[in-house]
This record gives sequence, structure tokens and C-alpha cells, in this order.
Amino acid sequence: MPRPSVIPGIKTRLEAWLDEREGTYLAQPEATRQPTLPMTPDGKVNVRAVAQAIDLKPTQEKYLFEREELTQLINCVAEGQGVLTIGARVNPTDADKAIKQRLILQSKAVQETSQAAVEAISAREELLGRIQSLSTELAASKAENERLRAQLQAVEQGVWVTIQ
Amino acid sequence: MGDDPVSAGFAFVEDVTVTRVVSTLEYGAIFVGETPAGDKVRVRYLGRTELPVAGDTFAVKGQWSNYTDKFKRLHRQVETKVMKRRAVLGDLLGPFLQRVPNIGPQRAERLMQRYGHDLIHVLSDPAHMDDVAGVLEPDKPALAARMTAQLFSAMAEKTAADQVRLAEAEFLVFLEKLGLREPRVANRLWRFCAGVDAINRLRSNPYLAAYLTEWKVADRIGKHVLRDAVPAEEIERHPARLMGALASVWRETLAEGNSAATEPTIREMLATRGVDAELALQHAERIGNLAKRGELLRAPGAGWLEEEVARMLKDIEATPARLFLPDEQRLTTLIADAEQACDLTLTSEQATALRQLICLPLAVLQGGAGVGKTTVMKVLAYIWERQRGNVVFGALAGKAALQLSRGASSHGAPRLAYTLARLIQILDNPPDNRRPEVEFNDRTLLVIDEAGMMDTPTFYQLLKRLPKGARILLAGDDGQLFPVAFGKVFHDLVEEGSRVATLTKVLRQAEGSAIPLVAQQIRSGATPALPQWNGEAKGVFAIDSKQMDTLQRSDDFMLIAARRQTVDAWNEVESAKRRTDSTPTRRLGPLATVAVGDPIIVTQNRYKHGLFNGLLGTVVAIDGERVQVHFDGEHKPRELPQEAEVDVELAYAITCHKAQGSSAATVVLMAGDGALVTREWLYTGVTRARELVLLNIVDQDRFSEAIARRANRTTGFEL
Repeated sequence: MPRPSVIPGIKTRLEAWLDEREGTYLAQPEATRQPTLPMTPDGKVNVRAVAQAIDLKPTQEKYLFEREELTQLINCVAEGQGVLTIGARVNPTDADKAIKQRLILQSKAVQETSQAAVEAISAREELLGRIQSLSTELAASKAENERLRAQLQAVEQGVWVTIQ
Repeated sequence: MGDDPVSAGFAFVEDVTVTRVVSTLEYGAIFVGETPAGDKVRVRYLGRTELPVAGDTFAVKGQWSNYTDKFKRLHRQVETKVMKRRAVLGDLLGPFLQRVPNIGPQRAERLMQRYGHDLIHVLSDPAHMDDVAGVLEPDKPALAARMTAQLFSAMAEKTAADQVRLAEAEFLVFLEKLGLREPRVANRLWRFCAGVDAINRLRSNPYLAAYLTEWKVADRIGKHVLRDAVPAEEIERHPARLMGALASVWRETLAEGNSAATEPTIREMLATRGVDAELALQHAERIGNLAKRGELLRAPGAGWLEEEVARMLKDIEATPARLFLPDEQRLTTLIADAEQACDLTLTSEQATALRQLICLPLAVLQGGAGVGKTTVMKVLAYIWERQRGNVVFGALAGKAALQLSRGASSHGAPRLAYTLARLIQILDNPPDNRRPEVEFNDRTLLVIDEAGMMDTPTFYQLLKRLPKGARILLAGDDGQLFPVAFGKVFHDLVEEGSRVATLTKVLRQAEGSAIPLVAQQIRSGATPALPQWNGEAKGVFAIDSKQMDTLQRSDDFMLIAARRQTVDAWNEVESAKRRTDSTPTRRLGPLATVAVGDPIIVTQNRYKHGLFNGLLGTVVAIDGERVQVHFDGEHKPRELPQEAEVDVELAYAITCHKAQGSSAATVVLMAGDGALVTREWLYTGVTRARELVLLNIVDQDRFSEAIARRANRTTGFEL
């Protein structure tokens, strides 16, 4: 008879621990925040330390790398704290990090006062609007890429396509 | 069934959200999706206007049908031609939500239950972020806040991407209404206009379709688009129409293999398109769109490619050799050593050719079938390596590469020849640390066989990747057909003459094969007298229609027909003969439904998959949606890449162009009434055979006429 999967249990412990780590992070003053996730010297998430923190056996540590549902949880928090995610090749841009962090900051701020809530909402609107327009720009860039590639491939077949 | 009359008669009328696309087809796609009730359904869409991706929602109207999977189990699916894209409603966001990191099915379900139809609006409005966080994970507020930020960002990206996809669907519908029915052309037109403003881009370039499809269709689209922008009386002479007509003229010119034409020819072609030729050419000159070389007008893109190829060849000639080239005395010794090592003796003609070629950075070895070109290449390779260079052998076609490998190898010195597609792949992906599969550097001599088949775009692709200092030997036969696509660089170099060594003496004759002799006769313009075939296994014979009807296909067999209609008819008949109602088949595209055992041919270059125009193969297995093919010149079968499926045709019969570079033990040539047949066609066809040639032509007079008829091609290439 097959053994029941250990993953759901690991996920529950991981979520609780990440929530606690993130709460500690947000409780710091905004200007001087330091990541609360364990890190390696080169700024990546220290996955071994995470595994130890949630009492995983050494043989279970690999699940944090191999199981998407666990990796995504860690990366979600890591991204917000400016820590390099598991499997990251490129640093997230400063703009991306800042936007996401401020979105979360506003979430916390809203819980505190209703006056701040009004301000926080308009700040969030601005930020989300920025994400939306960046997404539109990205989609437009991809489309432009597609058009240029089409023209290049045509000329490599001997067809010079002139487009106004 | 729905109440409205349009839905009447459809067994399935539902909204379906795509969860996974199983495969895309020439006309449509197969995907798996979910209805609002959560039922899973498989849909086979046979239409032109929609390109489903996971997360899209469509209103689907269709009928139920059966299909069999690779385990031979029967399943149900909906077949539809009618599928309309739906703006995503909140309760259909499920499949998208589940794929957002850290959401998953349970959280997605909670969100759908909480917000229903309003979910899209909620996920676009930051005022709802806290509420959403509470729904996602009420007991872990900090973590939930992070997940919510991630979700809102994903929604913003999806909305932006969806807008482009919606624009694509609208664009394709717009084209279909204008009479553009070919999906491949419509998709290419989309690529040139891609973006949310695609239709506007087309309005600014109303004759874009002229580059891609026949003039009749392009003119209809162009006129329709211009109608909204200019008065009717100005349309005929509008610059966009004039330049569109010129683009169409160049398209036709290139399709015939020419990259240039005389001015009278261009004027005539413009006139047949209903365009004022004088106006068009004046306008083209004014905007710098008219390139000339002497009496010829050159197609703009093709002209540029030719200039690039000429420049790169000149660069090769201008770069001094990195290795020490032997003087006369040393060369004599090396030739003697090579003869001993390879166990052969060069004729004096071959030795002379060799001495010429070794000194040339760009060298051309010209000669017909059976004159010993491969022997010369073999000895040259030996000498090059003795001088501490390295040699890479290449040929356009897989079979040609295989034959070259065999011919150029000797005991103790095996040689591997590559297809050009493979060489381009190798040059594009140099290995990091491992020992390279092929050494390409400034001491390389690249030897290309069947170089007469290389079109100008292929020359361009290869030359631009060669390392500086590499030298090149082009071996081929200018008596054969020109390349399939435009250009005739090899033929031009042979005609120019200053870099050419020629072999004329047929050597294979001595081995008793009639093929080289007959080939030589045809090549020189003489009409050979062919005996009637009586079942012989070797030689060159005439075969009549009655014999054609009872002819049995053997292994290693090629049937070449002059007319496209003959090729299609033959393919249809031969494939039908071998199938029953229960034979598993797979529709690859409008030109090919294949079964196991069918010979096929690839009709487009796809270098990254190691495929090229003219590659032959046999279907060895059909495994659900996947097709396994054993291609000529490869050791084992492999999967046909999905994107290449549309470029495959049956090959029970093929055109002579497609046969170039390949060979078979038996070749049947269906020249019919001979009207489309030229000397080059006959010569190429005969030289494809290793043992037996059977020629079907109406009579000896037509045979003579065909031999007298020469293929011609006009290009602007000059070196």
C-alpha cells in the first residue's frame, strides 16, 4: 500500500513559518528593513536553513527545490524581501521589487488606521496602475519583437518587406 | 440545445475555458477545457479564426464525435468549426487562477465562490486587496498579503496579454471577411502587424498581403482598406497599390527562382496586375526602391542577399591561408602519398584539378555524374590534413551526405559528412567545454557536395556563420536543375570560370553501368535511343503507360513526375491503395494525411530541427498525436516536430527539384508529353538512379524536344 504524501504537512508548516517571518519583516520600520529569510552570502535564499527551521529531515530538504508548490511559497516571500529566489538567474529589477514591497506595505498600513487607509488605497491604486501599464508595455514590446522578427526572417528569404 | 435558431442542430453549446492545448493544426487546434459547471471536455476546433491558449474562454457550438488514443481507447470529443472568443467572465477564471503561483485549486475555488462574476473587476481594483488576502489565507495575514500582490500582478499581465490575443482574433476575422482564406498567410500577416493596433497597422500598409499571397487576394484586401482612407478614383494610382503590385511582381519572380528581370518583363507583369507600370517604376525609383544592375532590375531583398553573399565570398578570398600551402614539388609527393593511403590512382585530369583547387580559398569543382569528383575531394582532404588543417564535409541532402561519407572515407580514415542543416545547427551552438563534434576554425576547409543545389538564402545562412579564415570548396554539376528557391550561385561561379576546375572524363562507364553514358549524352544535347523495358534490373529504358499501370514499387524506389497534378494524383492513388478503413492515419496539414509506411518529403527548411526542403523519409509509427519518421541519412527514426507537420507531403511521387541530392536504386521518370521537361530535368532525373532508370515519355520526338529545351534563370549575383 503506498505511503501518504508528506508534502501537504510540509506545506502547512512552511506556510505558518513564512507568515511569521513575513510578519516580523513588516513590523520593522520601512526605511531600515532587513530580510528575515535566511540568506547565503551571495544574497540567495538559504534553503537548508529554511528546511531546518521547519524541522525537515535532511532527506526531505530536496522537496523545497523540487516541489513547485513549496518553491513558489518561498519565492513569493523572498521576492518581496529582496532576496534572490530559488532558481533565479537574474536579479529582479529594483523597480519591480520596490513596487511589490510597497504594495505589501500598504496592506499592512491599512490595517492600522482608517485615515491612513484612504491614503493607502490611492497609493495602491497608483502602484497597481503602474503594474498594469508596465504589463501593457511588455505586451506591446513582445508584439514589436514579433514584427521585427517577421521582417528579419523575410529578408533572409530574399523578401524586403517595407512597413510604414 | 439552445433556444436561438443559430444554436439549433448543435449537440454541444457551451462556454469552454481552455486548460490545455493538446496540439495545434493547420486549420485549428485540439484542446482540453472546462465548462462553467466544471465538466471537462475535449474539443477539436477546425477553423481559421481562433488560436486557443490555456486560460482563454470560447463559446463553442459543435457535435460529439469519437477518437482513439494511443492505447486504442475510445473517447468522446466535441468537433466544432464555430467558436467565438469570450471576454473572460469572473466565474470562468478558474483555470487561469489555478496556474498563478501559490493559488492552486482550493484557493481559486474560495475566490470564485466569494466573488463569482465580479472576480475580474475585484482583481483589478486595489481597494479589494485586503479582502482578497482574507479569502486566500485568513490565518496568515502577512503571507496572504504577499500572495495577493502576486495575484494582482498576474491578473494585470494576463489582461494585457489577453488584449493582444483578442486583437489577433479580430485581425484574423477582419482578413477572412476580406477573402483571405489561407491560415498560413493570415498568420504571417498578423506577425507583420502584431499588437493591439494590428488593424490600424494594416490600414497604414494596405498592400502588405502582396508580399505573401496572390495579387488577386492582396488587391482585394488593399482596395478595401484604402476605400476608407482615399476617394475611389485615387485608389488605382495610389502609391501603396503601385508598390504592392511591384512587391507582387517580385514575389512571382522569386517563386520562379529568379532574383532579377529585365525592365520590359517587369513592366509586363505590372500591366497584368492592372497597374500603370510607368507610374509604379517612377515611384519606386523616387523612394529608392528600385535597384539595377546593367539591364536588369533586382528584387530588393534578394538583391541585398546576393550582395551579402558576394561580400562574404570576397572576404574568404581576401583572407590569407593560415596553414602552409605546399609548393609544386611537395604537392607531387603529397599526391603520391594520398594515392597510396587511399588505395587509388588519380587520372591526369583529376591531378590537374587538384593542383588548381588547393591554392584557391574559394574553389569550384565542376563535373557531371561519374567523373570522380568525390575522389578528388578525398585526396584534397588528405593533403589538407597533412598540412595540419581540418576538413569538414557537407551536402544539402541527407542521402547525399551519406554517399559523400562513404565515398570520401578510406580504410583507416573514416569521414563523416553532414547535412548543411546540421552544420548550421552546430555553428549556431558551439559547445562550452566538451570536445566539439565538428572543428570549425581558421584552418578549416569546408567541402560542399551538390553545391549546385544551394539557393542564395542557404549560401547566406552558411557563409555568415563561417569563422574568418575558413576556406571553401564547392563541388557540383551545373548540368543539373537550378536550386528550388532563388539563385544559382554555383552556376554563376562556374560560368565566371576563374576559380573552377572541371572534370569531364566519365569513369564509371568502365563498371558497366549505362546510366553515366546516357546522362552524358543528354547533358551534351544528344538524344539517346532507349530500348523498351522488359523487366531488366539495371540500365536505362523506356516504359509505356501500360507498364506504368502495373509497375510495383520496390524498396529504394523514386518516382519523379514533371507535372504537379501528376505528383498529387499519384500520391493520392498510391496511398489509398495501401490503406483500409481501419488504418490509423494522421492529418498533418492540407497536403498530407499519412499512414505508417508512407514515404514523405519535407518542403521547408527548418535548420533548428535538422530539416530542409527535399528531405525524404518514411513514416514508421503513429503514436496518438505524434508521428515517428525515419529520415534519409539518419541512423534511427525520430518524432516529427509539431511545427514542421504542415511542411510535409506524401512522396510516392515527387517533383524533380525535390529529388535533387537524393538517389535511389530505381528511378521512374514520368515526363508525360514532355512539355514541362528540359534537358536539366532529364539529366537530374537520370543521375538520381544507381541501377535502373525507366523513362515514360510520349515519343522520341518529344524526347528530343525536351533535351533541346534549356532551363534558364536570371539573377543579379556577381563576384
